[in-house]
Amino acid sequence: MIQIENLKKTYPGKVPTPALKGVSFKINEGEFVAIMGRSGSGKSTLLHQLGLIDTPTEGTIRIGNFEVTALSDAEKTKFRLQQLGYIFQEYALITELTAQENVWLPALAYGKDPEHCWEHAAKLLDLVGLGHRLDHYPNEISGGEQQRVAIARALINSPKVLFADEPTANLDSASAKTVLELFRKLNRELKQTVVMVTHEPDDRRYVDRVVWISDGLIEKIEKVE
Amino acid sequence: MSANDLKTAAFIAYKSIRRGHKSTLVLMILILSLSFINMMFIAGILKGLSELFPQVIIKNVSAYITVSSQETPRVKEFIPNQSALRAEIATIPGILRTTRRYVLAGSLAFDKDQSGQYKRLSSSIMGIDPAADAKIMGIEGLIKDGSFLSDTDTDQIILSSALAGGYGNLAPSDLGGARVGDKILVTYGNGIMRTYKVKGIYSDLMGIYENFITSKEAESVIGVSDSASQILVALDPNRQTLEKYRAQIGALAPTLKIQTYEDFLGSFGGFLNALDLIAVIVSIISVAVASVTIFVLIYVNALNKRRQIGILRAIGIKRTIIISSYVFQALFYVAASLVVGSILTFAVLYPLFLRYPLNVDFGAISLYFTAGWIIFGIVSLIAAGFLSGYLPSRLVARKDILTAIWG
Ligand SMILES: Nc1ncnc2c1ncn2[C@@H]1O[C@H](COP(=O)(O)OP(=O)(O)OP(=O)(O)O)[C@@H](O)[C@H]1O
Ligand SMILES: [Mg+2]
Repeated sequence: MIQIENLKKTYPGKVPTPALKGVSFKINEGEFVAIMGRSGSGKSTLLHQLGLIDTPTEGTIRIGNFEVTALSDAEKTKFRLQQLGYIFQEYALITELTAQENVWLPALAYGKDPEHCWEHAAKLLDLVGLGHRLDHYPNEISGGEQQRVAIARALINSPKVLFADEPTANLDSASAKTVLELFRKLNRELKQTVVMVTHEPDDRRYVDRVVWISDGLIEKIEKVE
Repeated sequence: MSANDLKTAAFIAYKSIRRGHKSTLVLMILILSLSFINMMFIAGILKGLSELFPQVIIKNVSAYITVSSQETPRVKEFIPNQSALRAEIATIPGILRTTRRYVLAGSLAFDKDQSGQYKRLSSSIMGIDPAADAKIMGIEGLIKDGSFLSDTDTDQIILSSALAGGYGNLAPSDLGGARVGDKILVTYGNGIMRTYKVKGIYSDLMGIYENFITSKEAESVIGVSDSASQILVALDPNRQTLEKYRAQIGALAPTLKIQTYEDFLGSFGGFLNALDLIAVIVSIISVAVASVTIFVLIYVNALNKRRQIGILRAIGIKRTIIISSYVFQALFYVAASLVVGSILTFAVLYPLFLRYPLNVDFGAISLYFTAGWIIFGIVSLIAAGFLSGYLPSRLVARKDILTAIWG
C-alpha cells in the first residue's frame, strides 16, 4: 500500500536541521500503524511527508500505484483531496463552516453529488457520535468534538489512507479513548488503513504495528500481538 | 477552473461573508461607496461647470448666433437696414427673436474726488435696445447696483463692475470706484465727447469689460440710423443644428460675418479641457484610494486567515479555489458598494442638486453625469475589487502549507 524508500528531510535554514535521515518501510493495506518516538525524533516530519503536505529532500514514497513524490504540486493537491485523509494535532476546522459543512466541503470540492454527500456528511458525523451537532460551528463545540469532526472530514472522500498526528494529544482521556476506538472500528470494520503518530505508550494496544523513530531514523518496527 | 471549482469558491466566499465581522463588511462598503460617490460627485460637478460655460457665453456674450458687419472684401463698420434684415431672419423656422447692438470704441474717464485728476481707460461701449436685449441677453439679470437702461435713456450708462473698480473683480485697469449716480466722461473714437450718469453696474465676473448705453444714444453719437454692429439671434437649438441656422442666415446676408457661440467658446476650450482633466485626476485618485483600502482590508483579512488557508490547502482544496473565493468576496463588497453608492448618488444627491443647484454669480452649477463616466467609475471599482481580492489571497495561498498553518 505505502512504500517508503530512503526518505530524508532536512529543514533549510541558517543551521540546516536533518529531521529524517533515511527512512524505509512498508505499510500494508488495511493496517493500523502507529509511529512512536521521543519528542523531536521526527514523527510529525515523517507524517507530513507521507501526507503530501511537505516535500522531502530525498527518497521516494509510493502510495497505491502512484509514486507521489514525483507528482506536481497541483497533482499532490488533487491526491490529498481524493486519496488521503489528514488529521492534525490541533483541531484544524474551518471556523466559518458548521460541523456538517466542514465535513461536506472536501466532497463538494471533489465534485461529487452535493446532496448525496450532504447526507453522507451527516452519517459520518453520526458515526463519530456527533449526529446532534450538525449545525454547530467549531467555537460552539468542545475540543474532543472538534477533533471528531476533523476525523469525519478526513473520511468524507473515502481515503485510501488516514493519517493522524497525535489526534488525542489535546483531549482528556475519555475523549481520547472515543477517538482511538473509532480508529480501531474504522480499521476493523471498513479495512481503513490508518497511520497515527502518538507518544502515548498505551496506544500500542489499538494498533497492528509500531514504527519506532529515534533521531530521524527507524529504531525498530514492533509487531503488536 | 471548472464549474464545480467555482461553486466551491462561491460557497467558501458566501460563508466567509456571512460569518465574517459585520463591522468589516460595513466599513468596507462604506469606504467603497464613498469612493464611488466622490468620483461621481466631483466629476459630475466639474462636468456641470463645463456644461454651464456655453450657457454663460450664450447669455452674456454671443447669444446662439452673432451676425456682425462685413469684413471682406472691405471692412464696413455697420450692418445697414438692420430692421429689414432682422425681419427676414425672424422668418427662418426655429428663430425665436433677435436684437441688435452697436459696438463703439471709446475711452472712459472718471474723476472720483473732483480734483481734476481723471482716471482713464479705453473700453468698448455697446449701444443696445434695452427691452429687446433683455429678452435675449443676461446683462439685466447681472445688475448689482442701480437699474438697467430703458429704451428712451440718452444720458445714462451701465458700467462693468470690473471697470468701475472697487468691486473686487480684477481688471487690467479701472475707474477707481465709480458708483451709481456718478458722472462718467466718454470720448468716442470719432472725437465726440459725452457725459453720462451711471445708471447701473452689472456684475462682470466673466470679464466681459463692456459698458452699455442705448442704441438711440449710440446713433446720435455716430450719426447713423437703422444700423447695427451685431445682430444677436435667439433660436431653438433642438430644432436644427447650429450649422444649418448659420447657413440659412448666411443665405440672407451673404456678406456678413456669422458666428455661433461655439466660435466664441473656442477661447475657453483650454479651460474646459483643464476641468475635464481635473475630473479624471480626481477620479483616478478616488479609485486608487478605494483600491488601496479594499486591498489592505482584504490583505489583513487573508493574513488573519493564513492558518485557515493552510488547512484548506492541506485537505486538498486547490489554490485557484481559495483565491477565487477571495476574489468573490471582494467583488461582493464592490457590488454592494456600487448599489449603495449609486442609490446615494443618483437617488439622493442628484435630485437634491437639481432642486438646489449650486448658485454662482454667472449661473447655477448642477450635477452632470455622462454614461461613459458612470461606466468608467463602475468598471474601475470592479477592477480594483478584483485585484484586491486576487493579489493578497494569492500571496498567502502561495506559502507552503506548513508555514501557512504553523507560521
Ligand atoms: N519547520 C522546521 N524548521 C526547522 N526545524 C524543524 C522544523 N520542524 C521541525 N523541525 C525540527 O525537526 C526535528 C523533528 O521535528 P518533528 O516535529 O518531526 O518532531 P516530533 O517527533 O513530531 O516531535 P513531537 O513529539 O514534539 O511532536 C526537531 O528537531 C525539530 O526541531
Ligand atoms: Mg510532532
